Amino acid sequence: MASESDVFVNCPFDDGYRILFNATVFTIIRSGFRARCALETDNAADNRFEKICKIIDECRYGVHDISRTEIDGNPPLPRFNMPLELGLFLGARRFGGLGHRAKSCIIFDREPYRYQRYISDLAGQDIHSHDGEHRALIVALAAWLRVQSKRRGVPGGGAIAIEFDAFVDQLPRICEEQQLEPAEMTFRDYNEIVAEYLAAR
Amino acid sequence: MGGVNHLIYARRRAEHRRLGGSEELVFRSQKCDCQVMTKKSATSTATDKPVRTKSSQGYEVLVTLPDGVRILKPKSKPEHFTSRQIRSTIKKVLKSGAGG
Repeated sequence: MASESDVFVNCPFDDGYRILFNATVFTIIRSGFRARCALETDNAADNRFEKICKIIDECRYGVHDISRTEIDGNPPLPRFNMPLELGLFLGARRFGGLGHRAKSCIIFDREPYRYQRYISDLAGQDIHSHDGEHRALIVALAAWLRVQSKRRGVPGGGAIAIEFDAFVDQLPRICEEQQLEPAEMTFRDYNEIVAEYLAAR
Repeated sequence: MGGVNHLIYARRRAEHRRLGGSEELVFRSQKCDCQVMTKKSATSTATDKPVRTKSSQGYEVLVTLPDGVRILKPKSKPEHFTSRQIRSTIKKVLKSGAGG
C-alpha cells in the first residue's frame, strides 16, 4: 500500500548530479513529504532490484530524472537504470491494483522532447526539462507537488529555491562541525540534516 | 486490607495530634495513597527534546511551519550521527550565523 507522503526519487547519484539530487530532496521535504530512494538501505545482502520494488510499492509519488540516459564508457552504451525504474513505477500504477492507482509521477530530462529520440512511448506523460539548473528543477517540482497533493500551504518553487541556496551556504559549516566531509555524507545523513535544519530555523 | 488501613489511620491521627490539629480527619485508603505516591510528573525535564506529534497517517512530524507545511521525520535513520547530535549542531551553526 503506497504511503501518501512518500516520494520515490529515481535519479543519478554521481557527483556531477549532486546539486540537482540535493535540490530534489530538499524540495520534497520542504513541501511536507518524505524522500525515499535506493540509497536509504546499505545492506549489501539486499537485492537491489527487490529493494527498489519495495520502495516503489510504498511510495504514492515519484520523481524520475532520465537526463543521464546517454552513451558512456567503452564500448559506449547507454545507462538504462532510470528508465527501468520509471517503467517499474508506471507498471505498478497500471497493474498494481487499487492501492496503486493513485500513484503519480513527474519526469525530468535536460532538454524538452529529447526523450522522444530514445523512449518515445513516454509521449503523453508529464515531462519537464531542467536544463541542468537546480532552480528550474525546484520550481517545477514544488509546483507539481502542490498540485498533486492539493496542499495549498506548499510554498512556490521560487521561495523554496531561495531557502535551498541559504541551506547550501550553511551545509559545509554543518558538516565541519560534525567532523564530516561533504563527500562522506550519505543520503540518510543528508535527509536528516535537511529535516532538522528546516525544523530548527 | 482493613488492618493496614487502620494502622495508617492511627499513625496519621497521632501525627495530627502532635501538630495540634483537631480530631476531624479525612480518611484516605491505602490504594489512593499509593496512586498519589507513584504518579509521575506531567512536565518533562528534557530541554533539548522537541515536542513531536504523529500525523493521522502515522508519520512523525518534526515541526509545523508557519505556512502550515509539516516537516516529516525521514524514514531512515542517519548513519554518521544521531538526530540529537545534528539538531544541536544545526542550532549552533544557525545561532553563530545569526550573531555574526
